[in-house]
Amino acid sequence: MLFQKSRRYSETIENLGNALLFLLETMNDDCVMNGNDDQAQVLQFMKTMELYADLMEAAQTEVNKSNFKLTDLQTSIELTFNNKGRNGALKNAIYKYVCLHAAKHSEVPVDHLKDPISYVFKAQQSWEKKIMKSLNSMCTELNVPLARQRTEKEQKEFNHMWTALGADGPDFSQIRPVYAPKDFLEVVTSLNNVNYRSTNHSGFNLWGIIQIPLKNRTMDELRIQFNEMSINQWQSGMDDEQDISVEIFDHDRIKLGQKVIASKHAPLACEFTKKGSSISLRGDLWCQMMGIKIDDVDILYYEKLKSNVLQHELLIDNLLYKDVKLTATNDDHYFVFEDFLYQILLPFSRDTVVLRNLLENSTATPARSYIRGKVGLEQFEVYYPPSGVIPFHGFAMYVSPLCYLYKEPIKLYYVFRELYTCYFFRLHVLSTDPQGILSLSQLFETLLQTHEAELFYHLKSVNCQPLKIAFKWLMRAFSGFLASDQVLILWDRILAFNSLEILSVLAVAIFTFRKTNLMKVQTYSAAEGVLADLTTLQVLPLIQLSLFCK
Amino acid sequence: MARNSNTQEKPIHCSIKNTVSLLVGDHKHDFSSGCKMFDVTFPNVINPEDDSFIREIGEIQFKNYYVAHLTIRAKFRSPDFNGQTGDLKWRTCVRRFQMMPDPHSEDGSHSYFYLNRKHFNFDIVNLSTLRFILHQPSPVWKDFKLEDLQFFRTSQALKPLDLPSWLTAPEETTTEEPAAEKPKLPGVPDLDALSAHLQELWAMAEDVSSNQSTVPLGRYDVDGCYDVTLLSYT
Repeated sequence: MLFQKSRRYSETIENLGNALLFLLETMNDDCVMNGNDDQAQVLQFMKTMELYADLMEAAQTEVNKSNFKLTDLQTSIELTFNNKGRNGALKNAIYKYVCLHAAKHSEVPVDHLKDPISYVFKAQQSWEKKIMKSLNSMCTELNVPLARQRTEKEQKEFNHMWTALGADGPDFSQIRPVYAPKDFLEVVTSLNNVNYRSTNHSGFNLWGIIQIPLKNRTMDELRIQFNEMSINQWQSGMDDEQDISVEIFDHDRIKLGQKVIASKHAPLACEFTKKGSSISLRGDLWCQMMGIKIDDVDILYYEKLKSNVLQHELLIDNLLYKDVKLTATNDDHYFVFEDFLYQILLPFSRDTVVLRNLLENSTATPARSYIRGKVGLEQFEVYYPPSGVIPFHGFAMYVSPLCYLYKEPIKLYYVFRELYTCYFFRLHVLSTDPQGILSLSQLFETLLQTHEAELFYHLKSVNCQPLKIAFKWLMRAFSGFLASDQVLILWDRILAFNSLEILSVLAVAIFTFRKTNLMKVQTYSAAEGVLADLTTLQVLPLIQLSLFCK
Repeated sequence: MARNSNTQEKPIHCSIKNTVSLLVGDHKHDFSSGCKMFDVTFPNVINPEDDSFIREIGEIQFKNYYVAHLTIRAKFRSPDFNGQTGDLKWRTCVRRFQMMPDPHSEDGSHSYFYLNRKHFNFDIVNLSTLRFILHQPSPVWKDFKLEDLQFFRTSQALKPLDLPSWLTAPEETTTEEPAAEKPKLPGVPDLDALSAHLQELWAMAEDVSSNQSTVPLGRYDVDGCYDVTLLSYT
């Protein structure tokens, strides 16, 4: 009896993996999986999480019970999972996987997977070459290596100053940012499809400067997508201000929000945040929506990144210093967080998790190099920087608004990393992704031309293309242009609806709002002047006016 | 729907004729009708005189280049009930398969497509010619065509995940084995217990060796060294 049970036990361990796969499939109804490949990939993804070990342990404890029958394997393990709430954690993990990964064909060549439209992919590659040339020329001019090891003494000093890096930086007058939003805009507008008939011949009159026809949502589709923000619904961040009657709304929202946080269910948190989140609950809700839970492994990982920063000095560090000094330190809302920014950005550029995400999900090809003296040898080829991201002018502003939400650098670091790898990387890479900067710019121009034709035509006739002003807003996700609380309200919606399209909608709304002044301008600089200061604007009323009031 | 790359099947040999633009009315005016077609025949390579027909086509694979939708017509010999060979006739095999959801925009314009039995109106057997009719109603594009056209005999249908039989089969009722059947060797410990322990040990070893984690450690340097001077362009 014992012999047979132990033989089956060994079979069980081998097959537990398959059984778990089967259970994953039956437990998640929303997940549409085709074929063994996808399930294998999900299992691979799950194996990297602590949740997997937890589930296996629970399953094995269940299996070891003496009254266990083999044919009841599925039902009894499902019961165990349901009992201890692991079901919720499993659902969250799969939800996160589905949000990140799309099903891919195995036969299709790698380049095509990166971006199906070949000329866009080629344009991205030549843009990257330009950036590399610029970085290399900066290196040779300043006679500074891209990366070098710090001496023991330097490491000690740096460690000593870790929490106050902003105080005493080296001289950065020679460093210039590698590129700025306006340079990227030039690349975006120069994209050209040879198979596309020019507007004169075909009669398709596109007034904007983006020349490739990408499919965008219409205003009606956007209304449906963002219908939770409709004008007849109460919204946090707008309706929870001073009136006595709406205080009740605020209290109710906070109570409901606390219940949502306690349930630990990511899609539920998303649904709740579609109407905004209260200031006190925002930090927790964002962590839940992005599936971030800090445990010991994560703390260790951050410490490892910090030690990497101490060991090697990169030229990227100087670029980041310069960027912080130029943008965040000059801003009334964010200069107090300068030290925090260094503690986040410096380890970020050593994080290879970011690199892996870029390789999988974006059209970018991170720059590579060889160890000094070993040029051309494959085993000495490395990525530079380790995260694969070369920062541009304004990069630090992706982190700055988050400093209001989290006090500890470690949590702040993981939230920023998650935000970047899910959303913000699309804002400075060329691709036909419907959430990419190309599609967002196209959406902005199409919406403006359709709904504010008079304004667009007037601006075009005074030689002022609206995208030239709006592009920097889109590329920085409005960070540094709006007031800091408004930026957070906007980013609430980005996370809740899992879409960056709200940025284009807001840009159109701002143009509509300042229409009377804009109709009077006669030069490009006057138009820029009208739209220079956005800090008095409130995000939600503008979006509601634009989407739901026509 | 993709072909499993482990079983590389050779594509069926075919000969693709030139594309013909279909025109309207008299041919003096330069008018782009947005409609093109080409024929594909399947000559028998091994025995050119043999007029036998291709048995079947399971899957058609190609890369799109700005074609909005596609119609495929097949010319085949219908089986006659008397056992004699029937007439050649045309039937529509795939009607208006949409590849670009919006003909004016880039979506789907460069994508790879795999058509298999699910898309065909009837099984393609006894085939003589296939006619591809390409439509692109939008005037915005200068040219449209299909690239890398390939035909395969079978299509790889995905099998659902097989449950191991011990999971679904009812457990055999194990009665106590009569002690008289087991030989008792003097001086040797109980065989059952011994083999049980060995089994467990072996199982644990198997478990550890098969569960190697593939998570990378996150090292970006080479043996602790990360001295980099310039970026390389290759």
